[in-house]
Amino acid sequence: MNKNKFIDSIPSIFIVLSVFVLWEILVHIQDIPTWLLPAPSEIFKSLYLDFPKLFEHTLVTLQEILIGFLVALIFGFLIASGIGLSTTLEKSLYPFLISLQTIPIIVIAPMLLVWIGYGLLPKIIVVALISFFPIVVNTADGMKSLDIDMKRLLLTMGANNWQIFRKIMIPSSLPYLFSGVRIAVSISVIGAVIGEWVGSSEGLGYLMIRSKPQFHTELVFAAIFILSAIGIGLFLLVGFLEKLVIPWSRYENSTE
Amino acid sequence: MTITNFEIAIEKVNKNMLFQGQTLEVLQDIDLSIKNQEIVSIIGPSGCGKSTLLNIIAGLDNPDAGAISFQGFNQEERLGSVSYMQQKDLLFPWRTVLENISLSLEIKGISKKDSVEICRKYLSEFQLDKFEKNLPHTLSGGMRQRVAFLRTLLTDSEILLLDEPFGALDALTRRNLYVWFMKLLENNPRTVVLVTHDVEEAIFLSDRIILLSQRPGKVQLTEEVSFERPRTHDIIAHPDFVSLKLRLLDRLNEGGDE
Ligand SMILES: Nc1ncnc2c1ncn2[C@@H]1O[C@H](COP(=O)(O)OP(=O)(O)OP(=O)(O)O)[C@@H](O)[C@H]1O
Ligand SMILES: [Mg+2]
Repeated sequence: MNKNKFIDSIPSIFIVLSVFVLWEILVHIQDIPTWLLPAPSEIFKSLYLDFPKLFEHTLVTLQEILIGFLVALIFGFLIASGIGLSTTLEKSLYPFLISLQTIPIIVIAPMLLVWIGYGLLPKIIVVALISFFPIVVNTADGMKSLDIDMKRLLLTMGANNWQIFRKIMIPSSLPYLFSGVRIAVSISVIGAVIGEWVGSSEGLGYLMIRSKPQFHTELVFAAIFILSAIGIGLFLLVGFLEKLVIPWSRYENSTE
Repeated sequence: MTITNFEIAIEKVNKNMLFQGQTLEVLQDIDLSIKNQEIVSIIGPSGCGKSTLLNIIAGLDNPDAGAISFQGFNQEERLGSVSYMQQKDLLFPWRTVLENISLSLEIKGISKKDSVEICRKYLSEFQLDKFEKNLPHTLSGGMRQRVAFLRTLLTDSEILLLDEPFGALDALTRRNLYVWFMKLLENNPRTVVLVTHDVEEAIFLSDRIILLSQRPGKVQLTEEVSFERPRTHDIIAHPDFVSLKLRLLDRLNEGGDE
């Protein structure tokens, strides 16, 4: 099993490595200065040398991502439940949700700064806003996708709406919730960086903004490297949790 | 005789269904009274409305005309008062075998832990004890059907509706289940309406057999089955059994040729 997984990931490891090697060669042949485009070796050097600083800022950004994402998850699930339970709520909430999604987060973020000020809270709100939509829409779809015959089965047992919600709607929505969460974790990283860009004194986004004018481009890239690592790590974590929480979901369609 | 002696009384029931813009007459003037603790089988060609009739008795559907009463009382709201095993097994893919079986107990408000405890002792009788923690997708068709059957039996209502409960089982398992089921009903009598395609099964299990005609389903023939209970498998060879079987098969085929 593990061996197979390793073999499966060989192509992607190979691609990443060759990109790095080509990049390194290119930078050296063309003699590109580090402030313009640092070679991978420079980036890794910076990761090593600036580790304490990077680590400190990573913790801040990670905190914003996790809290913001959790807020989005909780509210997303609650609102999706409302939509699943009531058609009236569905009809009245959907336009609101979609308009919320169309407002550019780039515009909202500075406003939050004006309204709330600096600190953790406005970043959490940006992360939550950006990751909320995929969670709520997917989960609501899942609630609506319940098997009508299962519902009829519970009705013959004398079940009430609350029991139908708990015993069918919630479980049927979980696979959908997870695909929403998968999208949400990747864009929540972007949300945190945007939140920091418009005004902050710590975090990887702040570090990037500050390092660029100082021509510490290798530090910018080191931050990008860490951000993608966070994105990949969260994505893998969600996949792992999914297998753990809903082991049945991959077989659902084959059991009709 | 007053109607109150009947557990289930179906009076002049008509049912139409809309299908692709066309109205289908599915059931026509169904009159059927079922006594308390009687076991009645319903047979008939595919599509004649057997499942529809059970849906109506269970309260999932309402007749377009006519009435259903339980114990003499007109019953508009029937959901929750019968145990119904539908044609599809409808196992919940996220629940283990044991959790699927205990579903109705949970709906009644018994805690999950207690319901699972109550159900566990039935598993061995169904050769499912080794699979109690399995998810449905790992089970064979026959096992799934036994789980659905057990789940229905544990929905503890006076009236039991079974839609082809043994269809996916092999002959041996099926025969063992017949015997087990009849013993269960002896100790804990219930009123049973059983839909089946298998004429032998109908004769072996029931007190009375109703033959429905091709759609629109009408009661075409009613046969009493008078074998003593408890019945054993040798009755299959009994001349009365054979002649009844031939008679029913004849009529079934007639219906099919039309
Ligand atoms: N949801 C539905 N909408 C419209 N028509 C339906 C629907 N379900 C069933 N029918 C029609 O109603 C008729 C009766 O269906 P029903 O399922 O009761 O038959 P059945 O006797 O149980 O058949 P089988 O033995 O194949 O299970 C069928 O002819 C079918 O075409
Ligand atoms: Mg049917």
